[in-house]
Amino acid sequence: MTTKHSQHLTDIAKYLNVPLGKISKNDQLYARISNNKKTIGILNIIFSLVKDSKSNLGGLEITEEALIHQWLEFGIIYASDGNSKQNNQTLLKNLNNILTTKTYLVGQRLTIADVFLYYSLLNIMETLPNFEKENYINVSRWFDNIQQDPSLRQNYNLIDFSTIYLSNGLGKHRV
Amino acid sequence: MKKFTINGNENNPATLKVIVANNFRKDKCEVKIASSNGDNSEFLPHLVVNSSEDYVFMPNAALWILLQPPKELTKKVREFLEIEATVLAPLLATILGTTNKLEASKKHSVLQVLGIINSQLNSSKFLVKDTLTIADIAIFSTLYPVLKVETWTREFLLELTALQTWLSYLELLPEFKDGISKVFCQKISSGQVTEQSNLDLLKTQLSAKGVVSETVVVTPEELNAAKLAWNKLKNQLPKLKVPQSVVLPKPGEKNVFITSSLPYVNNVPHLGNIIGCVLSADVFARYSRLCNNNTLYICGTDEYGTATETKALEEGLSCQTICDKYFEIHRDVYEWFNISFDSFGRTSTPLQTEIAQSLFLRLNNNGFMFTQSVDQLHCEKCNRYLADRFVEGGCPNVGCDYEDARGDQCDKCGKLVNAVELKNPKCKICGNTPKLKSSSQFYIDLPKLEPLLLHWIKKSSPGWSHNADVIAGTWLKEGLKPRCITRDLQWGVPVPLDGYRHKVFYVWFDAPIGYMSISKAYTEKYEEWWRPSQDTDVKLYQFMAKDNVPFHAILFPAILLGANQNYVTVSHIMATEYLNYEDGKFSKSRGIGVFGTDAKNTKIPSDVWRFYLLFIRPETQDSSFSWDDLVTKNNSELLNNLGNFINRALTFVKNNFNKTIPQMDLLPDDYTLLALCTREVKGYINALEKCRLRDGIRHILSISRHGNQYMQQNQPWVKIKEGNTGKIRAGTIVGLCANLAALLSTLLQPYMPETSGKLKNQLTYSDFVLNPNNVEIVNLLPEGHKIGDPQPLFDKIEPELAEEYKKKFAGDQESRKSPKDAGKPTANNNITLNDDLETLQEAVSKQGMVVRKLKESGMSKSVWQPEVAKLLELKQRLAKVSGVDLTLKPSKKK
Repeated sequence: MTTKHSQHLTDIAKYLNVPLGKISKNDQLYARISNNKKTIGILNIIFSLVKDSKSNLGGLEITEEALIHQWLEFGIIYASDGNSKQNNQTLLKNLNNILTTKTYLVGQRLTIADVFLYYSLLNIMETLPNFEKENYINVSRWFDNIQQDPSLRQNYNLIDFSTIYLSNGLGKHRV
Repeated sequence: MKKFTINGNENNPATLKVIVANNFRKDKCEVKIASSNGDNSEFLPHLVVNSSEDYVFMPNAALWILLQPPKELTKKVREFLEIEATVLAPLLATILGTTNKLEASKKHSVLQVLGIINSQLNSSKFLVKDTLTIADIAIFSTLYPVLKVETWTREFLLELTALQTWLSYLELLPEFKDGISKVFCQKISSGQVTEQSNLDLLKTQLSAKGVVSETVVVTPEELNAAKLAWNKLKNQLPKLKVPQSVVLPKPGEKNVFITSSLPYVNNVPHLGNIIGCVLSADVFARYSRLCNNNTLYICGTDEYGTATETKALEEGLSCQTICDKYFEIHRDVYEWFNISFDSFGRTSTPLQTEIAQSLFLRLNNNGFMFTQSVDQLHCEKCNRYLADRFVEGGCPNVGCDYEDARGDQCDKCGKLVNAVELKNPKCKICGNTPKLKSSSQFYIDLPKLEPLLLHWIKKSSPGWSHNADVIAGTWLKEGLKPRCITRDLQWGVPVPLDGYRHKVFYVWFDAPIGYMSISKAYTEKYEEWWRPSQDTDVKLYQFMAKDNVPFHAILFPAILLGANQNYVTVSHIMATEYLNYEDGKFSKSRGIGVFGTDAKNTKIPSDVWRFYLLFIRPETQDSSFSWDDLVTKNNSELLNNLGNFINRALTFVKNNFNKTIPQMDLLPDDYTLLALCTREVKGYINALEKCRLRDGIRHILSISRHGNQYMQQNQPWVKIKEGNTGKIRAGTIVGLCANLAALLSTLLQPYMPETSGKLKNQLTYSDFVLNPNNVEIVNLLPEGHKIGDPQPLFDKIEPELAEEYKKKFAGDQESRKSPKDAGKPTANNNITLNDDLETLQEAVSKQGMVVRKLKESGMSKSVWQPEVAKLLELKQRLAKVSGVDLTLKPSKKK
């Protein structure tokens, strides 16, 4: 886990419009102190932020909750800035396969899982060359969809997924 | 109800998780297990939700679906799952997946996580309260490969007894057994056996170390003994002896004489020195006093020799002043560490002269000394023979034309030099050319003493630590050679024979005699310790690091035996291996590591330093000091285990029973606890009798662990609300725990004297006598005993503090001085000195030391070359000022 996670937590709190409280890292996990309540672990912190915001971005039933858990864990483990290029490629390939039939990560609606993974992938997507975006067309579609919400994007740049580079044939020739 | 299908693969701990979780379900899912080498691009294991085609590929999410934790435990379970998935599993995957050497940083991180888990398991049956949840399943599965392979078990699980118990409990549950056989069985057809034998091996290792009892069942005999002991009347107990101002041995009693090797005066001791001798000896001395033995513990600084002379010259002070200065530094450091010397003396005393001279004369008369002439450089102007360090000249090594080689080593080519071979040698003090003179020196005739020594070693060595035995054996196997025991120096004990009065004794002869002179300084009747009467038995225990073994196993006994005066010789040589610093070496010359004076300046109390150093005492092999580990041990063992237990018990007595030990009606369960703790006390006594100090601590911690578990199981906070009988039951439970706290206060005393003192204050209680021949736990705090105010005994150490210290102590000592010292002209400051003679002389000698140390430390030429250049420049400037050119080549000589 890298320090960037505290940035993600800040972004999420801002997006959800709830006070973040105090974030610290001791032993191996992050902790949040807010309203004199201590919450330990990124997953717990994110769930607590969602709860504070009273939004419906959390899981409504057990399978949904588990799937959100899955994507949060996925983001923490696999979408790390320190990744090698090869690791990033594996990450994007796997994600691309899973997103083939999906608009959102969990169910048929935006959840906190999409929000967290958006922030987690920002750096990777920003540095991904256009011709490679084409290889991960489902990831690109999903990412482009998520980033359209200005309140979620905050001060981050819109990443260019202009289809002219992404259409199948052309991209390949450019490589 | 939704239907799921589980797809998994063999030999995958993550598959184990999912299968075990499924085994706990009422309606089992369909399970498909692929062989592990199948080429499958899918995530395995995964779960398919049959109705929605949802694909769950992160194992912990699958667990969440299969076996949802109770709502009130959700947060805590998720916390453990996160630490498992994001920290523990990735770390173990990289560690277990390669055959490379285990990286220390990774090992620390794993141990840190396991430490957290272990301390959680100290206070509850499962990870989250007393309910088995998917947190237990996930962490068990991830640790399963560690449990299966002996080397990893040793690496990670050995000291974590609660974790160990929990693992072996879970492994035997049918749901886990079935999962293990499905996921791990096919590969290891003989596997069941391997697996089982590893687990058995671990258990026997642990029980051999006395760390964990094979079973928690106590025998009827043990129970009976516990009952009898508890109901003994307190006034039947022996009382601790009143400390005497002078301790002397007594006939018919146990008399224990303890020394720790004498530290050389001219530097500051580092942690390795401290654990190697003074601290180890201190624990043993304190223990021995608790056993009511007549115990004398002495030590002191070893002050004579060339190194002191050099230092004195360097600092422009007299040898005596130098010794006075450093003696105080040593004394203060040991005082801060609460080392309970009966006397901390020094060797530069008239008593040393008296005893060394008389022993020498006796050996000489007995025919164990002879003289032989040795060629040495002599400076006529200074009227002294020059020790290697006091002469410089042209390097005699072929191909090196360096003009300023030292008498022992050339700064330019780095090769060793024989001082008498230097071209154009010069006295470093006055610059004159010394002449080669042969000088007669005394040798101790060890070959002649060998038969006496061999006979003696056979009798004595069974009481020595293993390494001492081995080192002495090697010396004897090679055959003993005569050793030169005099030198042409001034700072030392003069040889008391005409023609030799300008010579002094060398460290080999002189230093160990310090033990005798220091005890004479302590009492006029010192011979009662060194030459006790026939009816008095004195056992001499000498503590040291292994490099000092030859002095204590060969040379000093040879001197004592040769004197033929019935001197007491050592019966227990207790030698430690080396302590490393964060996997490197402590280095006095490079200032790496934590020194006695540094420890004092940290925010960590001396008791915690003592605890940690003893916890990692390099007993049978080298060990490492690590800041991360220190923090983990403090927070998990001292704070969460020991401190937590004691504080919980005492606070309960204070809040619910008005600080008074309540009525205690013990049930069989309570006697079981006492029987279990009696075992630990026995283990403690056994360990300390044999100076296995590391093990002693572990028994102390096991007692509080038993106590914590007992409290947790019996829940006095619930009982107290259950009417009168409940109140009596709660009283019995906490009364018993308060008694264990009293027991611990004495057992802790040798290790952590300040903490023990604090605790005894809180208990309004004092130490009891340990009886190695009859170990039992009696009712120390009877009903009606009033306790004081319970306070937490330990503080948490934040990991940030460790990081801070890690950085701070990574550099050399020079760089960590406070800014006010920074302005002082050190040799490293570039040359901005005033050109006055004294400053320059000091700078030259300091820079000389810098160069020498760099080379001794084996640094590459590129590192030391610039320093040599600085040295030369300084010398030139000194020459200009003083008129004596130290750098001139002979050809340019005026």
